[in-house]
Amino acid sequence: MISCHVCHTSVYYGTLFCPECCARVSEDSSSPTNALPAGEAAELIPPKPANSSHAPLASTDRIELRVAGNNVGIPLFGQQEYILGRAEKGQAVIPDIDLNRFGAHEKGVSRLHCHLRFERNSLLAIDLGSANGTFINDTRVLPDHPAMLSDGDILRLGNLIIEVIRQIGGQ
Amino acid sequence: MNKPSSEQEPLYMEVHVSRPVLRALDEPQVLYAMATIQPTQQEGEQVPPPLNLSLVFDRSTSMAGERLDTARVSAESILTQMRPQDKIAVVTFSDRAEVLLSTELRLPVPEARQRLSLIQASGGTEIYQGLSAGVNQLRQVRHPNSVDHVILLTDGRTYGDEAACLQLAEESAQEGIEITAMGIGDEWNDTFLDSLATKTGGQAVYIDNIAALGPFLQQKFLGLGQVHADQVVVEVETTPGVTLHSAFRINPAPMPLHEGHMLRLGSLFAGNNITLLMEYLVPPITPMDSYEISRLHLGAHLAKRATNLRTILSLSLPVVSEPVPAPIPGSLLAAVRNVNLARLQEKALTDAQTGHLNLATTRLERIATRLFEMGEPDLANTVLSESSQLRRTHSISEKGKKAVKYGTRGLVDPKHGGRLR
Repeated sequence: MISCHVCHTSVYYGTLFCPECCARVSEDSSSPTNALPAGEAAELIPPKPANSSHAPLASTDRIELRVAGNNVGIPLFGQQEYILGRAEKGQAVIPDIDLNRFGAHEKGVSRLHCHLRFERNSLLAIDLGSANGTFINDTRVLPDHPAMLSDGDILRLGNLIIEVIRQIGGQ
Repeated sequence: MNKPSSEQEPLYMEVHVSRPVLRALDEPQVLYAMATIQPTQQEGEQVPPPLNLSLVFDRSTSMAGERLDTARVSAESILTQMRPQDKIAVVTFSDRAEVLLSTELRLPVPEARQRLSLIQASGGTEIYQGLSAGVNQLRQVRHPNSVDHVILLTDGRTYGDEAACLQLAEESAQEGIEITAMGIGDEWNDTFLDSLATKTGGQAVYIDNIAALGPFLQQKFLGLGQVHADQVVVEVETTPGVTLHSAFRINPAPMPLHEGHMLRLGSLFAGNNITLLMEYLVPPITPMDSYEISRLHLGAHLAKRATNLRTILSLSLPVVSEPVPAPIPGSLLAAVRNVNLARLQEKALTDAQTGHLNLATTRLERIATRLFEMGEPDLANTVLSESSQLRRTHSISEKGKKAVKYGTRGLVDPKHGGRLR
């Protein structure tokens, strides 16, 4: 038996989706997600930026994700939704934003970790049953509960820290 | 992918599986198989088979007004499009049934219309009365090359005769008569109509908006007049120890299939295929070159040729000690995901009916989360709304229940455009 990593229901080997929560079940051990020691991630979280405005996000805004320690912004442009994770060879579903180049594997990012979606002028984050969790400003995003992202929020996938940056009116 | 050896048959079946190999394990394992049945080639200019169609309309008091008017107008429209080889009956029922138009006597359209104009709403809903009369109309004119179909339309619940209806559906299936069961509004018994239709390989349809009735009947009528094959059935013969855990028709008209190994799949419409998803539970096994999981016996009635087809496909895979990573076909993955959602909502609705409210709301919220992820916010919000109502009032509305059930089921149809992101 294998265990669903979201609701911990035991399912038979070969099961593709958990019958209790419909999360994707994977028994593939070719590139498992690194399990992080408890408490390790919390120590790495920077304080939330003082200039966080908590303003709602508009679809006309230019929004970027900026991984901590990296100056390159990842624009969220042209799609209504994005899956963040790690792309691996042979993976049936690949994420829209592959975080491998930011050391995602070492930092405990799952292959399909988090879903971002624009909805009614809001940007929502939904954890996809990741092994090491999705956090917004150190508050865990539960797999069953979409959470709103605001300008300046710190989105953390496992130990990978990402800042959400809004540039008003696309400037 | 498994294919039958001969592609000379007018139909062939191909099967995609979730893994290219089974794994040697000392515990059971799951394997998914998606079978697609399709015509081998175009049938050319053969004459389409004759259609024998029984329209069975509920005329109980609750059908008065727009519902019955729309049904009448839809029937009239079909009458004007009948081909010379078609035979159509119109049966109405309340506490008893009346045959307004018989398959045995084709009336001129004006006279047929005049008869339909006499339909009056009154009385209760005894479905067996109407269904029995409708099936008998087909029995009187059945022919080896005909396609025989009942379309039942009701807006209410039948009491005391459900078992008789289901028995009649079993008999109809044996005789090659398929039933489409349509429920209008919110008060009809979805579980019952699902069972009724599934037993014959047919379809249960939720008509939320009466305006959708006419176009649906029109499409159904045209489709039935051009079927490539009907009475398509797959009998699943499993190897001892292997269990067929579940089966679901993906396309056309997504439906859970009746329990058992005889999977009735209905009609194969021209230009389409039939797809079903099977979930097997394989017992503990040791390494071997080839392990036969099941044999799939495909049967169908080829109305154009007035013959029946039977062919067999063996589903076998090697068994190895170590896992072999391989991509899963996207269509199979999407089908498993969507069927899983449809099954979870069935469980949630059963929980709600049996008083397990916390479990029901938890399951509904999990479904909503997945629907949001899949880009289905409208359906997700409907599910959340029903979950909230359940939490507040300890009950779930009939309308909400059907919206969740048939909305979730509708995601299974690939034409819906369900995506794996």
